[in-house]
Amino acid sequence: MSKTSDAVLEIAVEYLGPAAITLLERQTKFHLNGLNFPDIGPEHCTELAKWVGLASAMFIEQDLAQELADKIGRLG
Amino acid sequence: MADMLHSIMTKLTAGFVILVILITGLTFLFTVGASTEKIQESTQQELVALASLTAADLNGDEIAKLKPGMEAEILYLMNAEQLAHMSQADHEIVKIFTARKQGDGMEYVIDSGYNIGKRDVKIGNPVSNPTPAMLSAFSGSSVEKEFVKRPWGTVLAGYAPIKNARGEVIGIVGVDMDAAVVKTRMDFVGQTIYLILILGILSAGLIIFVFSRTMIRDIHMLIESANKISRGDTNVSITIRRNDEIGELASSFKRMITSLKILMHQDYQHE
Repeated sequence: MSKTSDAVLEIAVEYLGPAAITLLERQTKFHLNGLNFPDIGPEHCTELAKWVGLASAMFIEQDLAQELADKIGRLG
Repeated sequence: MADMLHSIMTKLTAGFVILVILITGLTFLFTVGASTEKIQESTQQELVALASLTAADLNGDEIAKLKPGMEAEILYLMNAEQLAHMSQADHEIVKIFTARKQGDGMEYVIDSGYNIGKRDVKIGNPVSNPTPAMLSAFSGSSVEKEFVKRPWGTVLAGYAPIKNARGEVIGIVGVDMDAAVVKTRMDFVGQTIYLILILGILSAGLIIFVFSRTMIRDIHMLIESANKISRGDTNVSITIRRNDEIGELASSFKRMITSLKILMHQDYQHE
């Protein structure tokens, strides 16, 4: 796991619980050109934040999903 | 869901109310006892003070001259008027009288009710069973420790010696306060404290009830959500916003539900 993926996971778990890793892996794989989540760097955070925000809004309130996306985006 | 009898709210409310009742009950017992004692003491001091004041105003030489049958004479009427005036100045005083030693016992001399149609005793009427406080008043001011019976009712009394021009004690003055008035004074403190305690218990009960109600409402929401999820319905929303332990529990619960939703969501799985 890269430092960035650790930081992203730590933030996401606070909002999405233990299944956060599943969501993050899927978003990374499908929207970051097949990249594995453990390999992401700061340069991927802005794009990942966008997709995590969209996907997580299916499971948590919109404002919380936006908050999560903003936090991930700031890691970039 | 737990019934009302076994709910945490009932237990919390009942527990706090019992605690408040215990504390206030003990406070009540100690406070009322001490307060009523103090009220009685202050009433006794008031009676002694009034008796001393009255005795100082009376002319001992004139009173010593009064003999049975002199009730219509100016000497009696003037002194009776003076006592009536003192008595009427304080509406809680039922009677002021003077008495003196007669043989082995005592006899009444002046009755403050003479001029106002409330005379109960004439000059020379014997004082039945003079109390130790009455007898000791010949050597100094004294007060009854308990209520005493008089021809005009049950009273609490204070006494002071009446002296003549040579400083010799020729009798005593007695100031009587109706027992009912004294009891009312003593009961007032108890009733006031009782009222305050009742209000305190009710307020405490109400505050605890309202406080526990909001707490239980949120716990019920969590229980309902858990029940829904345990039956396969993940369409639940936790809207609890608290900064206490229940809020923390709600946040953890919310994260678990979100994770379950992520894992169970079919569309997501087949994205």
